[in-house]
Amino acid sequence: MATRDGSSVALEILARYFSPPLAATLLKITVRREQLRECQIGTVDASLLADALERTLPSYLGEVEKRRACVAELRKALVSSDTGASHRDGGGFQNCGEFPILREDDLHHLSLSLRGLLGETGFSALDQTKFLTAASELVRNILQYARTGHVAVSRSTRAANERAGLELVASDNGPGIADVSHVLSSNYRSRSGMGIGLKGARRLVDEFELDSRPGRGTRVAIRKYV
Amino acid sequence: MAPIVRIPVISLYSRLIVPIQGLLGDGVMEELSEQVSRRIVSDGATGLIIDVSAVDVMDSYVTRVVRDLALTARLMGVDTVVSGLQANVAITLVEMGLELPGVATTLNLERALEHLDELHDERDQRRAWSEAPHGDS
Repeated sequence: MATRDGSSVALEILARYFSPPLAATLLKITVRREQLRECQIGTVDASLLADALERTLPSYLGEVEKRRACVAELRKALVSSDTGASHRDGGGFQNCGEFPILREDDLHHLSLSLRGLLGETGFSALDQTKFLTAASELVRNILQYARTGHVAVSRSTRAANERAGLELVASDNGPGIADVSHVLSSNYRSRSGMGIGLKGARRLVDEFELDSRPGRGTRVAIRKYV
Repeated sequence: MAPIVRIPVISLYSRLIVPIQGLLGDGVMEELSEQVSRRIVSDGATGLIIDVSAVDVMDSYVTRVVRDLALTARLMGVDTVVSGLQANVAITLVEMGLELPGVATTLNLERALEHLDELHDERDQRRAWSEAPHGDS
């Protein structure tokens, strides 16, 4: 079950009233002005975002009726996405970042954001290094085999889940893996890398899920708890 | 915007020092291998130090590049030392089952220089010994 974070929900609604670039800009300035972190929007700060957008809107949307409709829609959607997120899967993981993987630079970008999140979640320096290394393996796999893909990062807080943790899902529409168990077995060696990519990543995290079929792409989820 | 990472290759006496920094992309790493092997020849280097003290994430790709760099240099007759592996990075590498077989490692850059000095001292002594007149009365 996929949960969308508050910012993408808000963006979708704003796009009904503004052109897509303006909608994106509007959201961005609101987030910045309120000093919200984008990863918080899916959760506690959803109503804060709605309030903030209500204050931002008048300078961009003159018509009172339209503005009111937009705000009502935002509030409704954000609050419902808020509750939806916290009940998701019972696992309590809440989306706090989406990262398209198109080029190698995206790995830098992801690592920087991850570093901050890992620290905030309360991971030790060693566990941060382990998670970052595992994430790096997954992203390099995407770049190498599928060229492009997508990474989603979610966080569970202690209050929601007893255990604070971070989840990263790397997915692509690449060639996929024919024999998953072989790739994860100890005698598999890939063409490049040191034949360790996926199975190395698996050793660094608490939970590892690999879902792949030839021609259907690959989805890897890793989770680590504090 | 990700910064464009350029890795300097420093020539010190007849050693080359390559301080690797940050997260590296495929392009940078390939360019680095080429650049280092060219410099080994043009500078007549006798030793190569790959300093990884600024690397806080070493995945299998970066590890492979470092290993290949060291092995290439060795094939060219240049002693190579990898220095400054961070504790957390070392633990992570071991946990993944990665290591740097056949590559000398030292705690830091200073030890790496000392290590190369020792290797070369030994060699000089052997050479001096074999060149010196022996066994005459």
